[in-house]
Amino acid sequence: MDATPIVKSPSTLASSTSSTFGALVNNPISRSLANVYQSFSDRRERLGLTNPGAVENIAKEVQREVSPAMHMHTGLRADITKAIDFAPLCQVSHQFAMGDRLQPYAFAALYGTNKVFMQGSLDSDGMLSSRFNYRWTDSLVTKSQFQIGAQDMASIEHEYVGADFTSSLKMLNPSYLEGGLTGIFIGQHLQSVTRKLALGMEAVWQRAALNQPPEAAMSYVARYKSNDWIATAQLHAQGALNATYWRRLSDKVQAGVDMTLQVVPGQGEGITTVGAKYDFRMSVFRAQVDSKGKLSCLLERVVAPPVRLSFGIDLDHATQQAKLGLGITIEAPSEGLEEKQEALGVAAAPNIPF
Amino acid sequence: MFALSEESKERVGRIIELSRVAMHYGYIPLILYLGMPSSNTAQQRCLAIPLRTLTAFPGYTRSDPRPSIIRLLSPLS
Repeated sequence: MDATPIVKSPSTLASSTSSTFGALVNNPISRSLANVYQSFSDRRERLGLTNPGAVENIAKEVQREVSPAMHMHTGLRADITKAIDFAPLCQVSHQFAMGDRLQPYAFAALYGTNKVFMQGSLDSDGMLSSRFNYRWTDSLVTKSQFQIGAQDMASIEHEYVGADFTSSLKMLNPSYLEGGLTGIFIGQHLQSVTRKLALGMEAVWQRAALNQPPEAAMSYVARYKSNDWIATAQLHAQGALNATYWRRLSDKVQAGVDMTLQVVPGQGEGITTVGAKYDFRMSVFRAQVDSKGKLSCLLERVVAPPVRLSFGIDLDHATQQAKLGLGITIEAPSEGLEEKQEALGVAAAPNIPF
Repeated sequence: MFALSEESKERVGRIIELSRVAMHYGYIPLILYLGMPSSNTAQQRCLAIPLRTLTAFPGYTRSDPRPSIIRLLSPLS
């Protein structure tokens, strides 16, 4: 029974061993392995699975799109962005701000082509935050992020986007200078299991210094995407459970629920947030309210195509505190750029590895 | 696991410090240099920069229309 593949092979083997490494490729073991892999990937292709996105973006519909928290700022803020070119993309911007935890001034520059994405931002304290992304192939992108100034930080991430999965390996402040490996290492994998369901996990290994023992933790995630709604769940290693539900109510309205439960033995804590987003012709309105009595609203309005105003409010009913944010964004293209963009058309826009 | 000697540790530290300073002052000028030429040769240029063009603002003098540095850097223009 076990002899059948070996008996069959010599007749086919004799014809194709031409190079030195032919024996390595054309022996019965590797060929049967290749066959198994080929039939496996054929079968996988026939399932018609789509890419599920990255693990960290698993709940982006709720946490980025609907929730105003990501777009919120308190105090005053003005951004002036000047587009210099579209292909390759290049723009500079000046950011002025007043308020807590905001730098008074920052200058930022951005450059992007099909292969490279570079961004640098220098604030008035002399701190540089930089991003450099490089696309090696269509599916492999390396993203690096550095912060230089008062507190140095480095992060390097390799992301592989396959047909039905996304894997990434991230390193935060990796170092070998102490004589051993230190830093934070995060491995993530998200795989489509059926057309609607995707399952994934995240492994974190960290060691702050050599005199401390390393720590490892695992998290598990799941995402179910139906035609007009998406549900996700994340179980974190420390015992926190996060579940979200997103639904498109009409083509202009989306709503989302985000629930986090801390299930540490002995004490439990939970917070639930309900939010909605309205897309109007010239403005976007986001609002959310959470179970601790905090209400936030954000209205973004396009006054004229280059000028955008944003008005945000954060009301904490439990502590009787209110925060207000007002922002203006001006996007001015340099002269002659609009004609150039029209001449190039939409197809010329580069696919930048953000 | 091998341990680094004191000497090589110092050398690596110096290299990191040097590249940190270079990045701190050079990263934004590099982006501006790469992005400034608004002509369609920008992509070829960023892949292979001839030595001759490295002298004093090549993108600035070559691009068409020529963007002025003041207009680029000043928020008021």
